[in-house]
Amino acid sequence: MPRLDLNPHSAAALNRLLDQALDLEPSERERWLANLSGEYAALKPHLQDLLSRAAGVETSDFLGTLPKLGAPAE
Amino acid sequence: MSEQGTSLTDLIHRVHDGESGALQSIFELTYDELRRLARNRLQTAGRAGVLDTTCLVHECYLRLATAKKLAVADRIHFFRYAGRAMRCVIVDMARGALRSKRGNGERLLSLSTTICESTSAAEEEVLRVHEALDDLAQVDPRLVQVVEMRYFAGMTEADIATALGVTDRTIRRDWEKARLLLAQALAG
Repeated sequence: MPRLDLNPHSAAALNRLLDQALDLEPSERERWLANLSGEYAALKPHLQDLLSRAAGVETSDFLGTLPKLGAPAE
Repeated sequence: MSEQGTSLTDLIHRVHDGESGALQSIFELTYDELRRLARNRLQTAGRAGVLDTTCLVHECYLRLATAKKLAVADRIHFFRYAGRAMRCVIVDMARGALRSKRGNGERLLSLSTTICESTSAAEEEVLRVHEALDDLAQVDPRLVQVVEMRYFAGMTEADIATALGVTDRTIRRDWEKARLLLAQALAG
């Protein structure tokens, strides 16, 4: 499992950038990513990976319901 | 200190006054009630029963509202705490079920390993989501609350928005971000 392992500044930036990207149409996100530079460039691969999962998460209703659990032993 | 005779509304007000012990007492009260209700429900429904956490949380609220004197005005605060308690109940149940299955699995290993593996997928998903929430807290602690209330407690976006004092739109966006981050974490 890839750990985020971000410092507080990077974590806040990731949160803010993800909001910006999700405000855009999916077709506009690639160009938006390409224009990221400066202090945000290091987050680009991470954001790209996250955004690439958006359609799949939506269509599969990822985590939409809690799975059925077995009964624990008494 | 025993909180047996203390009303839930008093405890909530003490949390607002900054008393950390009161928060622990609310958690314990809610956890114990949810755990008891969940186990009763599974015993009634049998091993194949589906745990409707939405119903459990509402039933827990009604029971505690009566038994522990919870004021109607504090209803939204209860639901804020219920998400965390429901997460702990579900995680403990998943760990217990996994231990049980792995115990049976050792005996069944010569017959079929695939059966045991497939029936553990639900518990493993729950435990991996639980562990990945530590990473989400780095990005925004509210994402963790939203996952606890939405995924573990089955609350609606409108109820979560009311409990957290934000708009429905904010909760939808939080849920969208949380799912992307969890999809990435669980894919690794």
